[in-house]
Amino acid sequence: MNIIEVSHLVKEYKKVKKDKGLKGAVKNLFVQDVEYVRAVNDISFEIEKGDIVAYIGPNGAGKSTTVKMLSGIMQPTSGEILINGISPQKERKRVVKNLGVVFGQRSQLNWNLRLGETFDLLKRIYQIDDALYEKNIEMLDEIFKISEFIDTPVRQLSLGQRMRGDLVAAMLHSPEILFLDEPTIGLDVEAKYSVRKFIKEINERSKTTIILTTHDLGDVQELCRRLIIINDGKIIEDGSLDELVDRIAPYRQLVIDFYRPAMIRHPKAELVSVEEARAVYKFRKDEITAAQLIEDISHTAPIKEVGLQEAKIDDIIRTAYQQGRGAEDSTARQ
Amino acid sequence: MWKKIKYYVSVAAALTRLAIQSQMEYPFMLIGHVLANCVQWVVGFATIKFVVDSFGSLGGWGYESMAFLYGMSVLSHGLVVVFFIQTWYMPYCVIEGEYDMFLLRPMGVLFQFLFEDFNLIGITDMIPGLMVFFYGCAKVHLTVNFANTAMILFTLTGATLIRGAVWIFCGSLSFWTKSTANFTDMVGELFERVSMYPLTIYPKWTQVLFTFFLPLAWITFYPVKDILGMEGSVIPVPMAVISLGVGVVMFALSCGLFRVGMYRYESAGS
Repeated sequence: MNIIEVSHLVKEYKKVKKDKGLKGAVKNLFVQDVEYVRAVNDISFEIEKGDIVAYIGPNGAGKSTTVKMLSGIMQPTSGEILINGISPQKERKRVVKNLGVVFGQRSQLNWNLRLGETFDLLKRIYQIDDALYEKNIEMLDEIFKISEFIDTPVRQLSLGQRMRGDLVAAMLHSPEILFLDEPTIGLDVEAKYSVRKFIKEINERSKTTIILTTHDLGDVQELCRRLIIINDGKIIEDGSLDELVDRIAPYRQLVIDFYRPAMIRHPKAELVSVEEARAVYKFRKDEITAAQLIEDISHTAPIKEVGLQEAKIDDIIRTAYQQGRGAEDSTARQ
Repeated sequence: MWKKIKYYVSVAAALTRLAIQSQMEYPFMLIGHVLANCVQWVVGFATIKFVVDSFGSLGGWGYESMAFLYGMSVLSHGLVVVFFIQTWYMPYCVIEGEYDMFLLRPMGVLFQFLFEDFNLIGITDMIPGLMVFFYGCAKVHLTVNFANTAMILFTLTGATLIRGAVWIFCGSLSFWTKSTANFTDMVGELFERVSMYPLTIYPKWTQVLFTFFLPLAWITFYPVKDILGMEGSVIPVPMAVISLGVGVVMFALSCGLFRVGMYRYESAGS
């Protein structure tokens, strides 16, 4: 079942061009160059219940704008959003009851007070009954270990602790959908690891549907079954990470160290370079396995050591971003 | 309906409690404000005394009635500062995307916004307000009875709503213009000028303006005139009740403007 349905979503911003200097400022009082910029340009997708989806793209691609429209903060210029069959624009209060949202750059916790006070307030706002509240706090404490710092004023928490606090605050009313906007931004390696672990656990335990925007591809690799890439307001990729890797970088590289310099060719692999006793082969995953290649070559010359190089995820995503931009340019030129 | 009211009251109480707790974290700020406000009160009152001493009376109002009018004005000023001062930050909220958090919760945005920052420090404005008010009551020999108490409460509620509504109105303009600070300052000045002195000292057209179009005269002038029993009015309804009515209507209108503005809300860049 689709818990989120987005069709032909568009968000247009008015952008005023300012002229230079005092003369320009005076002129702009009377005449304005207004141009309309499409931050989100005709986006459609569906998300199934219980899925974890990464929504990624370069800065200014339209990620946050989309999330803000999904969560009812902004009005779309056109297009339709249905969350659980309800439009967040028409019935905001009903939709957000079922939504947990965390913005990594912003906190909903009361800065001056102990963490627990914010939770008490949210309990009232979401009208969570005592039994459910106790149950949720207990479960969330198991995952996030918040009891260690629940009585500490928020301003004294570390960034990692604050993020855990924010995640708990967003989960208290057991929402079915969680929007996480850069949840690991600024966290150290350790804190990042634990936040990822928590997100995974929440998804497994409560079948929460999670949409994650991030610049950290480690998040994507470890958490998400599906990847939506957006660039210049348009979706340019939508699928699993493996699919994307297979399509963009179908090649792998095999580095072989022989005992003696050797120049051995193989019909299904390209010999990229030979340097003394080291040879580098490039091959397609779908044509031959690394094991087969090693075996074939070892028949000809004894192998000392092998190393296998996968394309780096960063490079793949960068290629995807560029491809999206390239496609846009070429359609514009036509 | 009843359940909904109970829900909103319980959240309002919780928000207020948290706001007070947060401000208690900084006790010295509170003390500083008490001192500053008392000084401000002494100066303000001395000005009035000087004016009345020099002119004898103002627009037909003697020193005693003016003291009472001034007391009501300062008191309603204190109340609006306690409940509505956060409206001054509305332009900031629009630019910085501060409404996001409220939009993500299943309650009215303006409701959350107003109660989130209940201004404990504003209570320090109430102290001089109450002192001047009681001084004024004593000067005009106001009889303490049910009718007078009710009229004063109506007036204060109406006055707070009218002032609050104008502030919300000015703040909501920030959805369109982004910066409204100058406008808010000007309105603040207007409040004080119109509510501290008898309206009769101003030219006729100003009186009409402040009665019907920008109904600031209802903050204190008309109801106080009524309470003090100065010249019988043509309307059989007590002015304090009309003040309250004007307050409710203006408040509703300003909330409406806020809602309309909210559709234009663009949040802030990530």
